[in-house]
Amino acid sequence: MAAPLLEIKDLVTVFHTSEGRLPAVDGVSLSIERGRTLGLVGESGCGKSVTAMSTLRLVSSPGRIESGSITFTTEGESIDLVTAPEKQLRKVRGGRIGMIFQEPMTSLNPVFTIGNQIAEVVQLHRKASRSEARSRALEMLHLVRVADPEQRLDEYPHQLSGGMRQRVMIAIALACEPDLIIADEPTTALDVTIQAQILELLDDLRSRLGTAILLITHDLGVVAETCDDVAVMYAGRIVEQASAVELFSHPLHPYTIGLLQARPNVDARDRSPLATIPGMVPPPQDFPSGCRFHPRCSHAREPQCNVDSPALREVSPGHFVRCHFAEEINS
Amino acid sequence: MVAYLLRRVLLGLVTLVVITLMVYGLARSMPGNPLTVQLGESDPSRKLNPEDQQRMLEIYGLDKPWPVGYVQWISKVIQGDLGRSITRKQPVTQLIGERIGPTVLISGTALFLTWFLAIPLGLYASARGGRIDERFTGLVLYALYSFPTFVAALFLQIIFAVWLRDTRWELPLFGMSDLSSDAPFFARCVDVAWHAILPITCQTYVVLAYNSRFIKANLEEVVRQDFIRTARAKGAGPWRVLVHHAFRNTLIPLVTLLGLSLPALVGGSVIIEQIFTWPGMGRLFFESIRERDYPTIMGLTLMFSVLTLAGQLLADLLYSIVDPRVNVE
Amino acid sequence: MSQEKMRVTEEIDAEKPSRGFWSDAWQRYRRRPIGMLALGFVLFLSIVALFAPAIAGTKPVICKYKGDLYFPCLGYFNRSWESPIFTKDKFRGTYPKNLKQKDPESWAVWPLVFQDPYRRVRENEWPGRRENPSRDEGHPNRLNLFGTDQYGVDIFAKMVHGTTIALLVGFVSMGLAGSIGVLVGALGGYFGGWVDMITSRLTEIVMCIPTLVLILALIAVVEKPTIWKTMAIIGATGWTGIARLTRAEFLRLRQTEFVMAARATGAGSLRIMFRHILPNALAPVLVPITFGIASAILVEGSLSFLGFGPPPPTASWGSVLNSARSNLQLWWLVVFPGAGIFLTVLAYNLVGEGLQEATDPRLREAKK
Repeated sequence: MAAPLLEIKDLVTVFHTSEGRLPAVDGVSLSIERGRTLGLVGESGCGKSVTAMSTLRLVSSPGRIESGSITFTTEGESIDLVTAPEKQLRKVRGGRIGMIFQEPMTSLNPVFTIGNQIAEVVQLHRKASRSEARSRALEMLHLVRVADPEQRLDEYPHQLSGGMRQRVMIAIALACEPDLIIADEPTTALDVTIQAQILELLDDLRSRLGTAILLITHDLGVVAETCDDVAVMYAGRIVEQASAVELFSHPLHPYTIGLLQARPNVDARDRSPLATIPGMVPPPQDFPSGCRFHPRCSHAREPQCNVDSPALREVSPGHFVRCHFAEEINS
Repeated sequence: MVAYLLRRVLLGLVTLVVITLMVYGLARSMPGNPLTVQLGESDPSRKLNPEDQQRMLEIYGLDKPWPVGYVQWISKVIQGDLGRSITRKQPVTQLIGERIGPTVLISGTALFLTWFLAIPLGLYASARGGRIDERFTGLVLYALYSFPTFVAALFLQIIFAVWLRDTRWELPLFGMSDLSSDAPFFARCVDVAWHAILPITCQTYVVLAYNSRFIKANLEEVVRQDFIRTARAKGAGPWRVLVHHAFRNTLIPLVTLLGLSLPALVGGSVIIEQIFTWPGMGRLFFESIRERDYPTIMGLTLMFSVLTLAGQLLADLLYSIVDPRVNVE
Repeated sequence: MSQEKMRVTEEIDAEKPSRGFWSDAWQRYRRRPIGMLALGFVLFLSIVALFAPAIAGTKPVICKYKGDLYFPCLGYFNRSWESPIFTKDKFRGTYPKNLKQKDPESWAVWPLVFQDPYRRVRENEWPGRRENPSRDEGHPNRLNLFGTDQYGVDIFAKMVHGTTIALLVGFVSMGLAGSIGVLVGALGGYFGGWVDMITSRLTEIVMCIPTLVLILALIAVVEKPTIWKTMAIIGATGWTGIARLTRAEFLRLRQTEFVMAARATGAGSLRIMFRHILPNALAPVLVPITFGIASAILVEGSLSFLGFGPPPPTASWGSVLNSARSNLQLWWLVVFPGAGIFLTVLAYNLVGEGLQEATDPRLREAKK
């Protein structure tokens, strides 16, 4: 079996603040295969964005990667992104792994034109002349379906709408034909109709170019539509991981079950009250002992659940759960 | 654009009229007049008899109330005549022409040095932020910024003119030049330069300290923005991120600062010119107030106000050039 | 099990009680050692200023004379606070000998340093002490800690009493400048339209006239400049920066939702301006006010230095520097007042910067 494109093993990223050492990512392991989409789901504050940033060592101080490895394999070579020297990492950033951020309104430099900013990533990674980079930028704008691309090339970010700016971000991420795109909540800041367009675009590009995608989101609906595999994250850890089909038909972790149940039912005949998961996501300075979900779990049993931290184990082929009683709960 | 410029110029003219009116009124309200001040300073036995005094007052229009005097002055200004200095008996324009060179020599050099040094200092401080060497330099710059110019000037004078007297490091205390005007050109240049070292140093260090801290603070804020993260995700190195992406955004407030320093460029520093007896505009202003030389006061005020308003306009225009989001209209 | 769950839920829901804005800012300010040092220095100066006559002077702090208790040292603050009995008994300002001569039962508590900021201490004024040296012999010695000026007046005493002037200048002039600036800026920023046009033009006009020149002219107009008038003039010319900042803040805050809410409840303009917007705008405005104190001290120093300060015999740091100009060989005339002004300005600047960091909401967000 070929090595996965990206393999994250036991990643720990901590923040050293005035309140102490806060492990935002506390032992996360993931792997993404070539050409497949992995959705990383979780509520705000669970550490999924930090995981994404850690991949390219973009975590800003006071955060730093403490331990773990992130192995990126491409063209027969493997490098560990956590320990790779700066120069090598810079070649990966933008060249082999592209990244799309959550806030299209502020993610583009206001003083340079769109064309300039797309061309920049081409010039950083390829030996291209000005005009070659510019025509590549034009090509990318066509690819992401921006209207009037020739005109847009010379416009500034403030002249574009949020949806268009996000398309530009995608263009920048794809310009050097990377093997992987990390999309950190790419549609959260956009209107619902634009959301659908952007997601469709991403899916289309993936099937055409064969790029793998790590999609970070809190929206289960998005995951169901576009992802091959899903990983559910809670309080800095992965609590369930499986293929999308498997996860949505047989969720095993109480948290996943709770998330799926919490979706409102469109069926007008269903008058039952909206199901919720009681309590709130614990902040890193107040992680519960043992299983981090146990205070909110209706299946929690003392003393195991509040003392022993469960490991992520394979309960059925390709389906991993971090729960002491996964089999019992679901039989 | 033309409409905008026209509007600014017209508004500026109105402001100018108000300013010059107020200053004229203020100047005339100061007790005494050029004659009494001059006579007071010179030999008291050479007093003018009352008729002669009255005649002189009439010649200069000082016997009329100040609004009339103002109208007199402004009607001449519109025709391009700034009047004659009462105490120095020269046309005001000539006086200004004589003094502007020395002032620009000091402030122009200081301005150039400041920007030439502040930008790299600011970049360096932001790149090495938080580390020992940066904190030390930061502290030194901060101390410099708080160090009053007149104290520094005195200190420098003590060191270079008193303690180092008769050594090769001695610097002249006063004035612009010790050589007469028929000395060879090159020798005079060197002499003037030698005299200018201390005033330029005093003028530079405060603004340098302020500007480099300003640049550093701005850079720090810019670097926190999301688009910097995007630049790094593209694979840009730290130097490119700082100089290409961040600095270009810092230029925006910097440019306003530059525009606003225009009046000081020509106005000169009263304190520095007084301490070093440098024959510049600041000293002229100071002396003309003391002598109640109204035409000179007004001429200088007019020039200074025009420059201030022009500087603001320049700052706004530069701002719209540098920041594509801003449209002056 | 569900009981426990509910309790835990409540625990999670009960957040830490949020501290008020100012106590939060104070907590943040405390964390910077340099800021605390600067604040400590300012406090130290305030104490010196307050107790100046008790630190250096030729008048007793307390004395008992002819059966009554007096505080002659207060005469340094205000002539009339020195009891008239001493003029009646022809003391002529010389206390040590006269007290003992005229009332052998008298006792006195003397200031720490027996020197006067306004005049040279005479031979045997304090029993056994020679008169103050002057000129080249006036370098720092045991009796004259900071040396004497060319007339023999003690510099240490001048510095101590000058502290009162320096701090007063800072506070009074900035108090005035702050009031004017906030008022002008608030009016312009809140009402907009032609009110804003007028206030902006006004601010522009005052800014256009070179400050030093304006001050000099006003001083000349005022004819008999006392220290209070000088302070008022400095305040009346230094408000433009504050006005501009206040205006920007009011412009920004005027559009916020809490202002709209206040208007919806029928609050009048003045009430909105001063009860709702001003407290929020205050934090960023306090910063230039603090820097303004440093600047006012510098301006007063420059004025005294140029010879336009309060008339003698007022003791001001700048006036000592003025005498230094023609006596460059007396280095102590430059070092001590220079260091004094420098450290004071530095301290206020550091306090202002610390205040800025402690209250800037954006900086607070980043450090979360």
